[in-house]
Amino acid sequence: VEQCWLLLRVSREVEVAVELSRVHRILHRRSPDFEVHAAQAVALARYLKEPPDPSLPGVVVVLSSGANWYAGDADLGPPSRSLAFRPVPPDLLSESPPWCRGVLAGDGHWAYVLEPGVLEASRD
Amino acid sequence: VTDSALMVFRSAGLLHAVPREKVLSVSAWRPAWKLPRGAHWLEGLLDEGGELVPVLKEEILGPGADVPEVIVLLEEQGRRLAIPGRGPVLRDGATEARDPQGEDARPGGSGENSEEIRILDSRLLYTTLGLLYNESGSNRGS
Repeated sequence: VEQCWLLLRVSREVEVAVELSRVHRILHRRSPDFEVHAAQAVALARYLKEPPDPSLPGVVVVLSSGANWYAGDADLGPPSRSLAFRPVPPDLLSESPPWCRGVLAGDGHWAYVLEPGVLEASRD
Repeated sequence: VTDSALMVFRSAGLLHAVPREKVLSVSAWRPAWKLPRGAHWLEGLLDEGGELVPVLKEEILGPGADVPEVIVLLEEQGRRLAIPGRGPVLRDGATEARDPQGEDARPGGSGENSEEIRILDSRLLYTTLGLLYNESGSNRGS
């Protein structure tokens, strides 16, 4: 079974990939319960210390674990066969434990794949 | 080109020289992908033939700022490191006049108009950045 990815736009320069199988719902601003979930959500931009991009519409991603994350935007990724995984050595990160384990690169995308558990924690 | 050949290039407003055998390639500059929460010395990442290569921030090498033209790709113990640079040239290291400590050199001797070249100790650089394990078993730089 081909892995499907949800690509979360964090900032102008940064995109994060999440396995679609871990995603329960994606809430846009016009969703009736957007504000309820947004109030509990951790902003990916803040977690990654990235400047948020106010021009992005803003979405809340509700994971199967119940964790809520706020991202600038979300899109289905291209077929995973067009994306190549490249591991990120942990010594390139400033903190331990590492937040990211690699990059999905290809088809114009460069999306960081988070370490298991990072998104589920829903705390920053 | 002899074994003593040096790759000389400008980065951070200074001239640097690396032994030719430490240079894997020199290619046209392209911007690196930003890695959030990356190491303090890290400009970003490049995909080089299927391997992620860290790109060094120029400010680590000196106080100046140059618009990079090339990527000088180093390799030390199988790990790659990309350095932004300008004007790379190969020179015969045997003709470079070294100072007593062997740390600096002047191209073609010590003429008044010659510019100082810093010999870049790639092993020391890697160790400082935490990319190589030192004798104590740690790869954390100071």
